[in-house]
Amino acid sequence: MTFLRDPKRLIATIVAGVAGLLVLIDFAGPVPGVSALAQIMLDWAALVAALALVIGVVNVTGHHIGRVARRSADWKYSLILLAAMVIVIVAGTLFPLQNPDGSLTFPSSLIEQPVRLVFRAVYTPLASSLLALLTFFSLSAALRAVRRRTGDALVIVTVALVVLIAASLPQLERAPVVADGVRWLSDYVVLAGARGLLIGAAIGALVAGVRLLLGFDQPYLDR
Amino acid sequence: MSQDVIVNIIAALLTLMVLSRVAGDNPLFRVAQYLFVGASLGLAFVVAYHQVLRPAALALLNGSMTAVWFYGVPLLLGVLLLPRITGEQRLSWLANIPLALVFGVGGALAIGGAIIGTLLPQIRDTARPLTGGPEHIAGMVVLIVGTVLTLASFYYTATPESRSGRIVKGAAAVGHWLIMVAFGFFFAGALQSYLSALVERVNFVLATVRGLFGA
Repeated sequence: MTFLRDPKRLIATIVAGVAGLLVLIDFAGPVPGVSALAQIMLDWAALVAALALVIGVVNVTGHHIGRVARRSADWKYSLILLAAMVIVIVAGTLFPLQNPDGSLTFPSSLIEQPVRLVFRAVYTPLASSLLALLTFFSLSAALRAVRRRTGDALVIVTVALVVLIAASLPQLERAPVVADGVRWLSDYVVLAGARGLLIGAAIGALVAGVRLLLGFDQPYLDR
Repeated sequence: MSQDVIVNIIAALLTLMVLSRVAGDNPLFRVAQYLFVGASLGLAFVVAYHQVLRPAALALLNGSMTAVWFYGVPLLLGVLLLPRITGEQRLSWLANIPLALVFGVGGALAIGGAIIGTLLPQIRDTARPLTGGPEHIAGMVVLIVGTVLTLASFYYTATPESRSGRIVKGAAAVGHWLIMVAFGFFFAGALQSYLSALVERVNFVLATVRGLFGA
């Protein structure tokens, strides 16, 4: 516990512990004074997280401006990134919109026309195309896994293949043994594995949270 | 040309640029990639601006003490984050305080969420009474035993030489295969989603091309 001797680290550890404890007590049940404080902590954390995101955006912008200024390798791509970012920010915050009375105003929410247009023309097609591209990457990963012939990979790919065949052949619905078998497997065997994973992950999150609040783990400290 | 047609042409071109990655890494895909990152960063900023920053700034401009308490303090804490991104690291420790607040609240939410959102509902659903037909009862037994066996594969602290250690090791081996079967199902589900997205994208490009040529 070297941080106890370092006031700079001690303050941060106390802030994390106290803020976390207030929110945790509020989880257990409504305690009048604590509930209000916990709500304030939640609001503050949300605002600080939003500011951290903005600072992150500023940091990325600075990095790419540096790449363009130095004419580093692939600087033209950085220029595209910066241009896309500026266009979206301008469309979402500074684009002048005309009111019914003819006066001009800035966008006041995310549902204003300029952001929606950018979303429809650029963001949605790119996001769903990248998702579609994962078809090829997944299939290629499955093929490579099968070539390695490990037991785990063979089980995963075989089960996936059976499920895909069962889902793509509606005729199998008429063969009750196969359809019911796959359904039973999905409802109980797969659920057992998924539930074990979920409970294991939840216990992991619980332990990580307790360690963080008690000051054993301090991911918020600088190095 | 109407706005909708222009939007559709841009969307179709971007789709083709992304899908061109199938032929290998190429400049068109990389343009699309950087465009996506730029647009995502811009959207993240716009969301933060409309949902948090603008309301906070407007409330602060009203000048009430409550607004200063609710919004002024976290804004000040946010300013403390700045030394972390500057080259000068002497004041970097100041950023520890706002980050500690975020991590502390996040840790508490993770604990609460894990207990109330996952552990209690999952355990309650697993411990249901054994009723219904024989296949349902058999399924429930498989579900309970399978969950315990899967959990055994996360148990790393048993001594392998001891009797209990050998039991845990055996249970963990069965649990491991159950996890692999679950992964197979998840993989198939993910592949179906990706395929649906691919079909939708291809149909969209075809419809746009047909619309352009009036077919």
